[in-house]
Amino acid sequence: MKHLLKYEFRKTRTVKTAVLISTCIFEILFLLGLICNVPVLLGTGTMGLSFCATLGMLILGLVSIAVLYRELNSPQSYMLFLTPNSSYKIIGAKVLENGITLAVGGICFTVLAGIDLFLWGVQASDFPTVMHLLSDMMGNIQLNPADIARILLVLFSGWLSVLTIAFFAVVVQASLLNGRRFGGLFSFLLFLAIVVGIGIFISNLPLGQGFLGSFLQSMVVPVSTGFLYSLLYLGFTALFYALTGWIMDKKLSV
Amino acid sequence: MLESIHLTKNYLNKKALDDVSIKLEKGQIYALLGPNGSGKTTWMKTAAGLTKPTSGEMLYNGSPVGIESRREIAYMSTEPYFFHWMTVGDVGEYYQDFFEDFSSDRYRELLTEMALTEDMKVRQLSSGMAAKLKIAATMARKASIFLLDEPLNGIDLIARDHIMDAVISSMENPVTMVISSHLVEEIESFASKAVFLRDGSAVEVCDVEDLRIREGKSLAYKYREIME
Repeated sequence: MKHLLKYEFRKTRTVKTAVLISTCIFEILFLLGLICNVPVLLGTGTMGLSFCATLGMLILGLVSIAVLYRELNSPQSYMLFLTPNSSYKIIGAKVLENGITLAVGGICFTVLAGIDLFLWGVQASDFPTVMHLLSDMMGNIQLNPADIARILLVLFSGWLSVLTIAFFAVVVQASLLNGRRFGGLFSFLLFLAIVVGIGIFISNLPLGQGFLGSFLQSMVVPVSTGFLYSLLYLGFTALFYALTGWIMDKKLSV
Repeated sequence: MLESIHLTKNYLNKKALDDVSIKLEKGQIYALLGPNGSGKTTWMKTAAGLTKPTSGEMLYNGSPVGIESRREIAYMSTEPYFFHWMTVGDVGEYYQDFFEDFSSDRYRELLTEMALTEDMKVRQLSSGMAAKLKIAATMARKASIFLLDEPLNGIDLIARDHIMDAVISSMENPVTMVISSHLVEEIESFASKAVFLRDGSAVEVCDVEDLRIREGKSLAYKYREIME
């Protein structure tokens, strides 16, 4: 598994490097704006960092899906399936790589946001005032470590389940269509159908109102319910991982 | 050894293999012969565990091919299949990571023989160089069975010589080899058995030496006789 994981990280290295470099550039702009007191640089840096944190992680996930699609619909699939690894390991490495990237990326961006917010506060005022201000802010929006953990966990598990469903859709099209035309469209429609189906399923649970609705709602409901959502998303991740591995093992010809 | 039993493979609108039963003997070099679309590649990919049969079985030492057989069966596709971001050195590292029977020293020897260097990028290789790289990576394994799909396809004469030298030098150990090719004359000099496929069916399996001595026919003559 460690070798598969190594190459999964290698496949998205270029995009990860691009996100990292972009983040560094916007961080420098932010710090320059802060130190030199230039609002334009500060705003650009803040905006850029926000995009890197959201779009960057989104792009990394999409690239992983595109890599799987390309691999399964080209002879590059031999590089995976000639090796003595089971389908479960092969797809497991992809899910794990995304999980690790998402977790590490999420933690890094959260820490960076915390540091930047703190520096901004320090630059704007003296340290005790900032601490007081931050404390007040936390109190006003009732944000505590448990809330932050819940939001991050819901985002992590929700996005991971979305990626696993996308992997499933790509593998199903590769098994049925063998790289024929409109395979990408078929995958996308299948992905949408599953997400809508899950949405309908969740809307009938006492937890929330549809997939996206419940996803958003899960970030504002009490902590215990938020963790239930995370468990549900992780359950979907496990389910679609197992289904994907099974189809690859039994039906997929490359 | 490797055996296909009533092997059939259907695609959406095509029958690629139709009830193919072939049993390979250990230590033999098989020429897998047939025109385009005769099922050679599908048979090899099924033997390598890449393609699932519609019906029938592909067995290796009595068990269906799969994860375990991939440890001992080395397959080389006719198409380039290495990741485009790799260098020649990365390809060796990849094989080293996944195949216990891979020899880095042998790989480096083969690279030198084929005038390839480890810093070359896969995406920048010509078709001849890419074919040499596939051969180097595949033949650096000490596999029990080698399946080489059209190793000489689209390759110039000098590169062909290098490739065949690499293949022949790897036959010092008692291995079973299956080589598919359109170039019947070139394969005739070292093949001990020939399997003729036509329209997805195994038409005939023959001993090349017997063919020459008993029937007085060359492999190329036999090929024309069967296919025409």
